[in-house]
Amino acid sequence: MLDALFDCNRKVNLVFGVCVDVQNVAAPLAGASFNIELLAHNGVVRAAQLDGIAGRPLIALTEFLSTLPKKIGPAVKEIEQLCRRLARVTADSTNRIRVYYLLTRALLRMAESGLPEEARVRLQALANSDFTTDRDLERLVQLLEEHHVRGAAVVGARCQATLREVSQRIDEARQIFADIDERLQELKTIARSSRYLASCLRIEVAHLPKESDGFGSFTAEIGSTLDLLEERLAELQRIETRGEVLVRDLAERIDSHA
Amino acid sequence: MRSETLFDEDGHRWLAFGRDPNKRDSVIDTNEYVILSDGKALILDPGGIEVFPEVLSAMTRHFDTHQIEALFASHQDPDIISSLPMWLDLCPGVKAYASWLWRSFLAHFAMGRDADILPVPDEGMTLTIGPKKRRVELIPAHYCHSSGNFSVWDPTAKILFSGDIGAALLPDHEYNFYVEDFAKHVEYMRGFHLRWMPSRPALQSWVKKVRALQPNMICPQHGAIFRGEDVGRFLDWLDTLEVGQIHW
Repeated sequence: MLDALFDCNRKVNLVFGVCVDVQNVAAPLAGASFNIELLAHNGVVRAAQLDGIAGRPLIALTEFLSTLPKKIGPAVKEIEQLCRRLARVTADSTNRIRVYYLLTRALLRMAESGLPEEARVRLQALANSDFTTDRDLERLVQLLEEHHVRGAAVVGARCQATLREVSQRIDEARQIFADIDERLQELKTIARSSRYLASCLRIEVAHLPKESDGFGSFTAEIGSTLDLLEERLAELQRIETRGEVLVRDLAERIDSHA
Repeated sequence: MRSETLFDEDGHRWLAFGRDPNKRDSVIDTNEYVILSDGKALILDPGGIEVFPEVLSAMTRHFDTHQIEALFASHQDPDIISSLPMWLDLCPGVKAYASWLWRSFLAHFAMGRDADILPVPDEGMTLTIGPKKRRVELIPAHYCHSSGNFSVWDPTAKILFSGDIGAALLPDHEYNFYVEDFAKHVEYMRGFHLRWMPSRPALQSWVKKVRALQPNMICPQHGAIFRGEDVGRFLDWLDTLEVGQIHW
């Protein structure tokens, strides 16, 4: 009867795992952004060494490119902070689900021992309930109260309050995932802008005289660093979506009138 | 979960809870006791979180949760007090007492709630229950078995709650609340005491103190209750027991 609650708790624990995964994947992004910045600065210096006006567009592009990674660090930091909040919310949710489970079990025990024989049929009818919603709980508490089972009102009220707390925490987790996604989209925009600038650089470099060949390897290096950044962002998106799906599923199952 | 009234006089009652037939085999059987005095309850060793639903359900057959005034933990073990957050959640404002030694350790059971445990000093203290402020004494029982350990003496009922002292690991067929055959019962107690009691001088000192109180009953947290002549038999047995020795 209460297996659904175990399943919910398992899912909350999986969300906790998502927090860890997001942090693990997000942390090296700061390193990747530093690499791009370093490469871009290097590009500025080398472009400045070129004769005449040929170097000017390269200086402008590399300077612009060097400013973009600066925005990655704060976004990654925000994601890390959001993950820490999410970890707290999931830990708290697990605790509250456990409390809810134990209180519901107490109510069912009260029903088994306190209800008269004629009320057992109605208790049996509750056998298919999984007690993840207020409705299931209300039916049980109502049955107990009708038969004046002592303590049912107090325990039932606490149980409902705890279910509301669980529901509120799941809503909070949903909001955190939305915020993580927002930061993720910002990072993707930075990566796309960097990719665009890198392609502009490649075009400019193609027009340089042969003696400036060193720029070829420079753009290739920027390209491969951006590949790595985009790979990590894609991985981060996959993990974040997994978490969002878990939390959405939990929100659909745990239904209180909060 | 079964319950038994141990004492009932002049609005002062002792209730024992235990022998839960629905308990999982992997969970050690425990006794929970309640002193219900003029409508207010003091729960002695409220039990582990795993048995909380059964304990709560059994207790509400006798009194309402708002009647619970205080909880007492004889020591820090999970079967004694890991249900603490549930009681604090359900009965806000309830007082919880335990040895000062375990105060910050017990906070680990709190599951995200504030667990403000009132510290019992090493020398023990007096608690009062209910509107008539009936006294119960928290008697030091350190190193019997825990290093911060207390028994509870109720001079009104002349009942001593002994925590793990006198505990027995009973087989399933022994479900009486009281010791029926002391000689046989010793076999259920011996192993427990040899392994879990670390200090013979501590036990002997406790025995001396308890003898002076002349209790009518000694109620352990596991196993069966000693009453009548079995109280003396138990104290004699404990006094000579060579505990705190292990051979491996």
